[in-house]
Amino acid sequence: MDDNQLIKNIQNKDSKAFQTLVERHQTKVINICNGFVHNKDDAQDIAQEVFIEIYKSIDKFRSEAKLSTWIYRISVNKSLNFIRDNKKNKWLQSLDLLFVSDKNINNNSFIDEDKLEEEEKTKIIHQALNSLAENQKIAFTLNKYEDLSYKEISEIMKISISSVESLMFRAKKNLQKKLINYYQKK
Amino acid sequence: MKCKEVNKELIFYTDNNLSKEKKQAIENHLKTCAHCRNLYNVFKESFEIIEKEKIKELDSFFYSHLSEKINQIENKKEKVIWLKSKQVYFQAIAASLIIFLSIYSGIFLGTTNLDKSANYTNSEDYELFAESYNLNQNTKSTYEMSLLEIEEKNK
Repeated sequence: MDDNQLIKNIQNKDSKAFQTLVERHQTKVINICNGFVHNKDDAQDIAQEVFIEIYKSIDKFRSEAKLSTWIYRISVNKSLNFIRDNKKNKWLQSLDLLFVSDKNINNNSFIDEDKLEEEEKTKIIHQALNSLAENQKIAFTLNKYEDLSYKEISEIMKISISSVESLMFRAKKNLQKKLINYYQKK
Repeated sequence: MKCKEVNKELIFYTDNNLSKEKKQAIENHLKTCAHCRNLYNVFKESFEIIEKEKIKELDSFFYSHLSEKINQIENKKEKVIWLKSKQVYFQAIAASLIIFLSIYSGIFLGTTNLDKSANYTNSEDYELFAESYNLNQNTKSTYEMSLLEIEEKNK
């Protein structure tokens, strides 16, 4: 079933068609959300919100745009909103993390050093990604977490392909700078 | 190629975004420079971490959780629609109750006042009547005048 037929069936309240849409785009949406929030549980929750939004507003969808472009745009917006909402409660979270990390230190006397090193490297790359300007982060996440082409990214972000190229170039430059700084200090 | 130049291009080399010539020059440099090789490994590992984070399999519970949430939303929607459709009836019942109560209280107050005022026929009785309702002097004299008028007519 092609996307247009799928949309028509969903608009006619066909639940099977909606299930097909979810299964077709589920992993892509979760990967995009995860690329922004770097937490699989949060990414799953945001992805659920994305599909609820799609279910609610499928009647407003115009087939001039590609279905996947529309879905990915909703995914980006929902993820950015989640990050903004989370920032408001950041000080509370940092307090919580303080207690959790203390508990971990007390409970885990046998620590796998390789695992710790990988966790640290993951944390560093996440921090570097989070420090990028919003547009650079969107372009980089869509390209690296979902392998989307520059053309697809330009459609989602509603900018030209050359602007996407420029955003990707600056994102990589900034990441390079952050990572070099971190490892040279070490 | 010097380390400084290589460091500027290393992430593009790792991501395979360079021309053949630049790529070859960096490869030659990495063979002899341990410092740049370490940095290259950092970038390589960073891209590998991103690759590892990708989810490739479908979560079978994802759709069941989602349809549960959607059912809840639909149920709420139905309740709101039902309440809205009954809104007219609720408003009509409330309006008739208000009208009934105001008519009933009007009748009740009217009959009790008539009962009280019916017994007052002379000036002394009026004192009691006026006292109970705090009526002023003007009204009392008007009442006395009307009594005199009645007496004159009777004569």
